[in-house]
Amino acid sequence: MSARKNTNRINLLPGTELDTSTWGRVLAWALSSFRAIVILTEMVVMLAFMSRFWLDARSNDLNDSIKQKTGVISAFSDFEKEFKNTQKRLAIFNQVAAGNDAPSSTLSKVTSYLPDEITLTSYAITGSQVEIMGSAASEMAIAQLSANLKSDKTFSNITVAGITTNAENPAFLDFDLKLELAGKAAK
Amino acid sequence: MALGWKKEYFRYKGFFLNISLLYKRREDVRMFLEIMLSLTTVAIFSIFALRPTILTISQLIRDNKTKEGVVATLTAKAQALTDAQNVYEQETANISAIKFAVPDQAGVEVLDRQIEMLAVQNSVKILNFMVEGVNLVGKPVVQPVTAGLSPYPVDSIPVSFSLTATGDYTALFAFQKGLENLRRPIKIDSVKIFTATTEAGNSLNLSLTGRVPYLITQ
Repeated sequence: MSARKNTNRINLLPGTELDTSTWGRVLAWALSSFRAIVILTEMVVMLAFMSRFWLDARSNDLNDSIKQKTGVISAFSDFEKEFKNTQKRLAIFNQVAAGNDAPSSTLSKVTSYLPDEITLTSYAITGSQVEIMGSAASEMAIAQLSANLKSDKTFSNITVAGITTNAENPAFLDFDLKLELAGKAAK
Repeated sequence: MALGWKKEYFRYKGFFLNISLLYKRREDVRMFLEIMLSLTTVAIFSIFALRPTILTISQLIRDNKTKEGVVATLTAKAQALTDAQNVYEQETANISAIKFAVPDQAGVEVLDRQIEMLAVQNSVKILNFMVEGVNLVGKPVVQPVTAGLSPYPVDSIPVSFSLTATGDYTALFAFQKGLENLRRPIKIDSVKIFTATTEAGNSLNLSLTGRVPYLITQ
């Protein structure tokens, strides 16, 4: 029986001169890695270059879109102005109407508090100041009016500015009452 | 002199030829050279190709993002304008009323007509009617607010007026109430109801000062 031939051979000797040393192996590794890096860099450059086209196209699309929408908005410019003016009108109306405490309602309140013995000769409202002038049959009536007005929280700082005897009819007293509208005083 | 440069030339030629020979003969030199060349390639790509491309791309991305924001804003504005137009068309009747209430111009003659009509309706006689500070020609001038009076809304110019009317108490009261409820909103600054003695006898008078706004248009 002839000796069996061993066809599988393992060569454990280094193939090249570099494989014999650690330094050489590191060099071989570095070389292959750097090749990969170069290839990768080139790929990145190519990708960047190509993406540039896509980005440029997108930019152009956006420019077109902006142009188109600007045109649409420009077409609305007259209407926009009109609409803004209407908004301003509404704001002005609201402000004036809301801030207008109707003087007639104040007058109604004052007259509702008048005792029978009092006749008004003058009634004035300027801003938050109210001045009531009239004739009363007695001081009690004036005091009553003052007390009635004090009971209403709409009025504050109620003062009797003067009481004099009526020149034409000494039986009556002329009075001058000043008060402030509480809600408007701070404005 | 001529020998000098030739000598140097041959010397350097020798170096280069040696390097070439070494490159062919020794594998380690060849590898080092290849590493150097790889590094140089990467560096050149990075500096001259990759960097400007990345810079340009990042700039383009930023620009595109800004443009996308602008497009979104413009789209929203266009939509808002369309909605506004729909609302405006639905409220046409009310809009004409508000235009009458706060006109573009002083419109004193309209105010005068309204007050006169109110006086007739309430059987009140107007003794005088005075309007101040209305520019008939040119750009309207905003007058400073008189001390003690409340400031007027922004974007509006007030027309100040004063009037005196006479009548009985009920009529004057109704007239005053009518003024407060006019379609043109009146800011009443002062009201005085008083008795005046004339040759004809005593009469009850109403003295009123107020302001009506009109819009400063652009």
